[in-house]
Amino acid sequence: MPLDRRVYEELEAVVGPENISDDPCILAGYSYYWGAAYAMAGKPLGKWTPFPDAVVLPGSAEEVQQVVKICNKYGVKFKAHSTGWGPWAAVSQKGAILLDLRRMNRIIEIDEKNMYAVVEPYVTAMQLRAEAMKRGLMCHVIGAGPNTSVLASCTSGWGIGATAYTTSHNNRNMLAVEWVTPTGELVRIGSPGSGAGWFCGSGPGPDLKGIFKGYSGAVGGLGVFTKCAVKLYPWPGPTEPKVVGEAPMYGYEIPENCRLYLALFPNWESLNEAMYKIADAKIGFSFWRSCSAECLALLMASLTGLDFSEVYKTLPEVIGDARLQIFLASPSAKELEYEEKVLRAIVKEAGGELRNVAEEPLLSAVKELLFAALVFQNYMALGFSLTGDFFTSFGAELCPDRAIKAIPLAIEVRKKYVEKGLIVMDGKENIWGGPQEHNRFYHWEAAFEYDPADKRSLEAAAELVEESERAALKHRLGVTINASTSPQLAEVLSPHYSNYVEWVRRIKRKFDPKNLSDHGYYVTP
Amino acid sequence: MEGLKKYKAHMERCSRCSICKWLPITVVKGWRFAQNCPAIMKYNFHAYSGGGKIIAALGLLEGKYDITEKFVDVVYQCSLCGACDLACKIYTRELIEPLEILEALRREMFMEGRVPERHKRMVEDVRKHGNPYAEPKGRRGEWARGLEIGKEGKPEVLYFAGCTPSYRLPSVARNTIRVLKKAGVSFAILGEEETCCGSTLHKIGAEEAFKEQAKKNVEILDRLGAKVMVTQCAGCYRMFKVVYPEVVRMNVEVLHISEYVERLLEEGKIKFAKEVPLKVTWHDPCHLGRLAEPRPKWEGRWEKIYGHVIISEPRKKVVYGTGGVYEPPRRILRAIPGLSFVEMWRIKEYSFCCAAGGGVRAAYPDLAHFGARERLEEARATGAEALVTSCPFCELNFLEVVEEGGWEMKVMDLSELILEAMGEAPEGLEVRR
Repeated sequence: MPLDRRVYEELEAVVGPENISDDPCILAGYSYYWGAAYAMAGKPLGKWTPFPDAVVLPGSAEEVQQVVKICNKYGVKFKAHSTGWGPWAAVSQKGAILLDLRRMNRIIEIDEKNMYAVVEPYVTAMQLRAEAMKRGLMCHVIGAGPNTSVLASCTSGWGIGATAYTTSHNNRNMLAVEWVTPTGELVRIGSPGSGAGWFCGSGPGPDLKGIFKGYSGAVGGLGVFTKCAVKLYPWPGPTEPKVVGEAPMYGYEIPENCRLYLALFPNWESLNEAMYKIADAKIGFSFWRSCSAECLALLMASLTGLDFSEVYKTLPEVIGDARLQIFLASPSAKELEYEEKVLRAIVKEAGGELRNVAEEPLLSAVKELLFAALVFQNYMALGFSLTGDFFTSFGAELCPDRAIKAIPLAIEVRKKYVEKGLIVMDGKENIWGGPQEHNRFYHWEAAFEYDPADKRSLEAAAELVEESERAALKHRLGVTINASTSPQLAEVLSPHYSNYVEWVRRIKRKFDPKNLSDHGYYVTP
Repeated sequence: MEGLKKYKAHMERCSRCSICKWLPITVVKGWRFAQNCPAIMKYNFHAYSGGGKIIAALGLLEGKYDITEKFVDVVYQCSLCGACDLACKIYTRELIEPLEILEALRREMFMEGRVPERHKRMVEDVRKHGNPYAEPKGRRGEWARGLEIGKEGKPEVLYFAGCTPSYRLPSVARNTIRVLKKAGVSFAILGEEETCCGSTLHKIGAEEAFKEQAKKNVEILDRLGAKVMVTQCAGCYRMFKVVYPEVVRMNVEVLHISEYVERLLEEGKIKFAKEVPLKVTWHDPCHLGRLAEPRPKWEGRWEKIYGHVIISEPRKKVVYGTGGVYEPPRRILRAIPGLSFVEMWRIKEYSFCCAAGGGVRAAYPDLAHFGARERLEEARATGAEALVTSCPFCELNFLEVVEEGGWEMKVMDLSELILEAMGEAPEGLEVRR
């Protein structure tokens, strides 16, 4: 549906003719995403999403504000979009315009002393991380990978990744925020609200984080975020990691003061037991599990060109199921030695085994690649290399003993899908996640790969997601990752979790009385 | 769009990760100089990225819309430099093949006549004049005037100048010839007989016209019985070395001047005796770098293993662009006494394109100049006094921007530095209009 010419011309006057388009070939670029099996937001199976009526490229918060005011004037729905990877980055319905925030791409400030950065929406984690590391600091990188917007995961979605043990996750790394509300007001949340800098999201100044972010963010359903301060953490690793290897196997040299291990446990319970002790001992930089051994084997063979059958057969025998990749990084050799000793003792006590990746026959040849992949998460997009698509299930933030219950459930639910050949044979589970914030809580997500071009596989994938969600609900395994982008699923979960959707709905109605900020992935008003 | 249909399954595998807009993640070293594509940097809409163009073409194939003027611009405001191809393939290996898709798209667009008017004229100009500048054939060899090139005996080497040195930057060809002469190489030039290598035609999708040029050139080479052909033009090099063998049988060894000079250095025929006190950086031209890796023809089928893991059978060799000519120019620069060589951030297979190629400079000079400015800024950030390269077309683009003023950056062809280090005074780059 073409946008009313008056609206188009007013928007054009704000952003300039080169920064607005309603040409279908331009609109298409904002309407095709992975997640073909993601049917839970009322989206049909498949990769196409509705075309926006127009796309605008605002260059500043002021331009965003003017665009939102024009939308309010004419009753036009709008959706903000940053790095845009996933259907929730799209408009959910026809008759909406999309604000691509790509031109707002500056790192405004890195405050080394107070350890935070202020960024615009299109700053990617790989850019912020590289700049932070030069200063001995590190930002959290979400599991989707370093090619994603830092601001988006802080303000509007989820953000858990491999270094979460030390760097928490972006739901909690968000500090002060600049927000253009659905009605077009420009609000600065936290310390900048009273002109006191960007160090704090809770004051002095208004604190509305609970309103616009809450547990998982509004996914573009509650206005547009134009700046965000994000917490940085001390980084004992190299200020500029040394790149080794050539395409496609770029890696980082593992420096003297860093070590990468695999800890193999006899079962998940002993892994949990060890993690409690590790957290008590206050050692280690990151603890994470990237995927099943079979999935890792398939990805490794895909990337390296090694024989699939050989790696698929060997790797699971070497690295097992209940496993964590552990990264130690210490400012001094003595401290590193101490941490390793303590770690080794704890893993042993739990019945496990600690293996140094650099000394493991099958892994040492690609240790630099594994360092870049497992700690820096530079190869997360490999998830698409097997079939072109994957999806996920479970994944709620829970205490360790509760979170672990998702694993046997995920194994049980997916079994028949693997056996029938409907999804990739990536092991009995393909669990991704680990401890966060020094073991305060865990995230275990169950991913799987399917072929979006194969109707049976695609439909099975959608069924698998739904079945997993039902299982998670039945066993009270929290508000899952998919519920954060699916109003339909949230409605199902809500009665079992304090009717939270009712409260979210009230916020939406109050802050967006005309319901113009695209609610499709947030809440049904 | 029949030629594009065979890529539909590949196109559908785009996840819209936008990794195609960036350097390979692991080599990113900061906020600045992390992007890899001049077009998406300038125009910003996703459609201008590698993945965006694939999605736009998929929408077209699925009948969601027809070709619009904007669609033509989106497709042709791209130098087909292959940076997106590398970034994507790190994660998707042979599953998508962005560059193949974009080339196929252009061939289809050309067949339907949906190309910029300037490109249509360029095809006519090459057919009529043997060059895309519409310059008279008879003036092709003028650049060699006064150089006393011997014609006796059978030369060891055939020197191919290319259109841009012949008509726009004669000093590049003249300096190169002087290097060969001083090294005592027996060589020949083609003079008026030389004709366009067809690089531009290939890039804009004019496949038939390109093949005509390829055949003409190979016939000339065969007739002369040349065993070694040397060129300093990156575009010509790629055509003769990589693309011609895909369409005609080649009987000649093709070398870039940097490869040949390196050989002459090893044989002791060239000695760098003079100090060149200059701090320089090297711009890897796309056609000499990632696009210069041969693409083996693959004929096979797609299979599923482990349920739904898609692989090619036999496994298709994934061309990442690491097989380009990267080290010879660097070794030459490092061998020049007194010269200080510094690298930029975007180098080798992930070099940043100056955005002149692929028909961009002819039809969209503002994009070409945008790309050149971005690259010159990167060169300036290294502290170098000169940006050195070995692609006359890149040089032309850089020079046009430098002439705008405000740049204290010299643009040099590699041959200038070689000649100077050999104790000769080179001619500086000067655009002949």
